[in-house]
Amino acid sequence: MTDSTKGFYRRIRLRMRLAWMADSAQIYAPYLGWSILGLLIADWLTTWAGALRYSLFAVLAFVGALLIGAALLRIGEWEAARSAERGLGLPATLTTALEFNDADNDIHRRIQSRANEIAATASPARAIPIPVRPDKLRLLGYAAALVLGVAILPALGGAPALSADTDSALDAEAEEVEKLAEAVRQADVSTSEEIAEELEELAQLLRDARSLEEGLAALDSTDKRLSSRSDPMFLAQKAAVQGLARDLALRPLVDGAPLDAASQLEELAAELDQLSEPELRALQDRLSDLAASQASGNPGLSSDLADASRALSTGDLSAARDALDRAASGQSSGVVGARDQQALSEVRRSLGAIADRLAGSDRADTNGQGEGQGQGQGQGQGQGQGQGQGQGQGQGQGQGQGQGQGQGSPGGVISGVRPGDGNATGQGGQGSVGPGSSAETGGEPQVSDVYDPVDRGNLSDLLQVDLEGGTADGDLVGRGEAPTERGQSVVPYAQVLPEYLNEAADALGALRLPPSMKGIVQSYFDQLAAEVR
Amino acid sequence: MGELNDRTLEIYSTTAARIEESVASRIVGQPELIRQTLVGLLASGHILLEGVPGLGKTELVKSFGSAVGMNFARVQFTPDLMPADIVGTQVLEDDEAGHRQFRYRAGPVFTNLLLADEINRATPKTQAALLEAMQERQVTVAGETRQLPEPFVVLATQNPIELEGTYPLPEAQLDRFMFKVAVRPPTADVLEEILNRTTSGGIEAVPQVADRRQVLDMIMLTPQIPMTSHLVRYVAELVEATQPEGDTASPTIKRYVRYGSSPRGGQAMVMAAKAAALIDGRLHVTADDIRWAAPAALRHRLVLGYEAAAEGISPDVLVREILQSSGEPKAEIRGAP
Repeated sequence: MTDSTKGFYRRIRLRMRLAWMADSAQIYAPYLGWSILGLLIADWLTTWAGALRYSLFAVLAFVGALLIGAALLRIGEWEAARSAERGLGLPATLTTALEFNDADNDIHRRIQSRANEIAATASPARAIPIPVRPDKLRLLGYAAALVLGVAILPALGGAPALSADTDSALDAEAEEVEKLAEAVRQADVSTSEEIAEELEELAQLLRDARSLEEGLAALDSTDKRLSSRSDPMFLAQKAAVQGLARDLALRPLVDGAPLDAASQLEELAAELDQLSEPELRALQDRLSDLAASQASGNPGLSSDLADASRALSTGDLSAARDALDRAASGQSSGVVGARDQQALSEVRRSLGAIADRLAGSDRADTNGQGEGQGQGQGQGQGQGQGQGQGQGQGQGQGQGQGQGQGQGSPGGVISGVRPGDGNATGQGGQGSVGPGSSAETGGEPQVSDVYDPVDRGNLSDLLQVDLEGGTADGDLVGRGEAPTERGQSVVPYAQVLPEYLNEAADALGALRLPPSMKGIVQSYFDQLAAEVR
Repeated sequence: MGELNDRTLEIYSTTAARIEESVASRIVGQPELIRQTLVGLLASGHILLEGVPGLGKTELVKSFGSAVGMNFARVQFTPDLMPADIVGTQVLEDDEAGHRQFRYRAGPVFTNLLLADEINRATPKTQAALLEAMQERQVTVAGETRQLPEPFVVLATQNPIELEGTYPLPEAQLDRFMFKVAVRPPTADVLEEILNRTTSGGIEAVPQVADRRQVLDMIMLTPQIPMTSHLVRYVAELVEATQPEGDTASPTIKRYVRYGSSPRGGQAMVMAAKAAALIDGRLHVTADDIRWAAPAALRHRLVLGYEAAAEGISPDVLVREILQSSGEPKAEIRGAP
């Protein structure tokens, strides 16, 4: 066999692999097309949004399988010769040459010569034509047309029913986000522009989202980026700043027109020379107290105030002045930082509410739950969180109804966008009461729930308890009246904790508590926040 | 014996074409019949021609004899035909000295082409006399064995109708025929040509285009035509597929066939394929040669059962099914399973 003939067989083998790939592709490509069509339809009609990714994966896997299959084909010279001679319409010419190759035999030499001649002149493409399966190609064409159609349908108007709702919801929330961005931009915080841009980008992502999952993912992504800006010491810092401001508002350091804390410290620094010795000693004590109150929330300011106090004790008015100036500056930046963090917190809460609404929690279904020996159910509607609870105590049967109101507390830095604002009503359920005494209290609250005093209802109603109505086998202890607290609300901790923390921060700033007590309260809320988180 | 090379191959191919052409000048519209007969001659195989009277069977054999310049003998088989009428007999004669002695008088079997006309009308005894001659190419008379001339080819005919009083050939004797060729009635066009040639007087003689020596050379060289092993395997599988007890037999074969082909069927296909390649001037056998030879080589070797007879299933139908279901070894490119 000449080198030319060997080369011919190599090309034939390569051509056979190619033909095998083409043939296999025609056989299985329609199935692949129908599969992709199924994925696209699922993507189109449902909230699932992985069609593109999985389709791409399927195509790559298909091509990879074809390549691997073609590479693994075992094609010997006989198979190559057999296929080539059939394709060329010269049956048995090449296979005979492979088998009868005695160089001393005239017939064999003639056969070899003929085969070499064929190999030298024949075209591998003609010998091994690429197979065409019209029926399979027709199926593939149908599948491709449908895939194309389904692929462009969403762009022409989205999915029929579900998609329209989703698009509407996403657009509505995108509008809310844009309003939020505008409110942030108008708020007096240093990072308003950056946060507003972040929110505007989020609004665009929501409008462009092709599914609910995409929208929620965009919300989550934005929240994570905003979260990275959050200061974990925000609450303590806020409490310290507000505490100092309230303290100095009640007991100003300088006489004259009311000034904010930073201005008072600056003013005091400027007037140190005019103070008498007793006043300086009193100021020294006062600054020492203030330094202690700032130790946990604003260590820098506390240090400056302590430095000022120590300087006064040594009579170094210049050093005391410098320390007071630094303290004034620290208080100013603390105020700004607190406002920034407050705004950030409010934005994140708003985004959380938007995410809840998108995820279906905007219906504000609330479930009341009776505790103790009675059980009840309540429902509330509205944007706020309402919770009804019926509670029966004692023996007998009880019924309860309640109404509650949820309202966001004032004090935010971004106006008009507090998601917690609104009214909620809840109705207590019925509680069937088993045996027990009126002294029994409710069971352990669920880990993630907490009693919310803001939504608490009236407490004055009494429940008439009929002992004979009892159904259980406990001892009857008498007939009497048992109080019921209808309308109590139990809400998830995570829902109310930010509110509580704000309230706590405000309270720590407003109340005149010893620094050690403030530390205890602050420590409690920090721990609570960590657990809930 | 000549060497098989490019030149001789071309010569033999040309000679074969001339023989066919010469015979075709007399036998009109039966090229397939002529090809099969020539293949049988070159493969040194005997041929059983089956067809109604008047289709030119005898004329075919005579034409072949004329075209290749070989001896030709015709024996009309009848029920009273005796073996001695075929193989010859000892006769008592007086020599020149007046002594009586037995002298062997050769029968018509001592020829190159023997036409055994209506072979199924002779008794089995007479048919059996032909058996040794066909297989051994020799006859034994009075204890003396005599070689028949080379080549020796029997072309027997039998009539598929008027079977009363006939003696169907036993399987053993049928197996000795390489081909069983069905002679078909001519079409109208062919018949018109036949009528024109045979009724206008002055029928031309069949020209001799070859001699016995050339035919013998071709017969000797035919087995040398190369045949690849996968085609030999194909032939073996075809034969196996005719066996109802075989693993590869189709349900149809199992149902209708009682006994399949003997190995002689495979030998006949191989030799016929090689002869066909030689006639075509090819140095190799193709699967088409085998498929062409299969019906004539197998149809008389299949012993059909009662169901086949009841349902009118012919051996040709079964051979066709075998050919369709038994493909030669392939290396086609198909998609993944």
